[in-house]
Amino acid sequence: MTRDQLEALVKYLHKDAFLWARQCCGFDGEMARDVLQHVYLKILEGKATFHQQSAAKTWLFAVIRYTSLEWIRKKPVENSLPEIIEIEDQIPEQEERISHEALIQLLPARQKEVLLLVFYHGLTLEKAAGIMQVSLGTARTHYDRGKKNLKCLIINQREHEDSK
Amino acid sequence: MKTANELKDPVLEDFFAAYKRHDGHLPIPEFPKRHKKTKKRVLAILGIAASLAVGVFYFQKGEEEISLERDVLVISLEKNENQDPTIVVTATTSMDIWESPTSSLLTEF
Repeated sequence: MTRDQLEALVKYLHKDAFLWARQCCGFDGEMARDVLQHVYLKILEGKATFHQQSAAKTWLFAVIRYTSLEWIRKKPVENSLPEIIEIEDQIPEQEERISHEALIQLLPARQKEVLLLVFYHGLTLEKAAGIMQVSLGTARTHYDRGKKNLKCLIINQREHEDSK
Repeated sequence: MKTANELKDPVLEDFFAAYKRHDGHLPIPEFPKRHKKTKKRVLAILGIAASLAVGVFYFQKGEEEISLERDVLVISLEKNENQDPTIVVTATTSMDIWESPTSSLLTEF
């Protein structure tokens, strides 16, 4: 695959790549942007090469996951005070979106990843296992536990909202 | 292989469908544009080639040597031990400075 073909392929997957990068970075858009920039640099410099052994999306997602983990590990711990959140100014749509992400964030990392890859990005469990660099059996275990846990969280939240 | 569609779970499906709908409003950053270096690279290569050509031309001119195409016979008239004039013939392939032994005749007489 030539450099131009690879660039066209990555460009085609850019939106999905950004969304996955954001999910890997704890839903931090700014960090996802930096991570994605770094991923593209790795690809264009030939540090991350596509051997066509898997689908392009699987390969790109694996590079993004690895780079974001690397990025989070290297990121210095910030001790600054948290920003003041103006709850009154938030519009209902944002609140709802935050609740989706907040619920997913409550899951253990592996369960979160496998559910996002399967339900959100529509990948098979096999591909999700490839991206997560775990065996299919391990991925299935995380998947089953994740589904159960998320379902419980959703039902609990609904019950909580209904009781208001 | 199992996918989300095959493993129907209405609670999770609704949850992720709503989540995806909301993510549809997320601003996606532009794909970074790659600055094509081809033009600059070609110009740089042409510049180096031109400099080399000028350098080679210049140095070749400076080190130019005049080589003799064939052996040269030098015939000179010299005095032998009996003070008789004799003709001496010598062959050479290169000459740095050669002065005719009879050149003084042109200037002194």
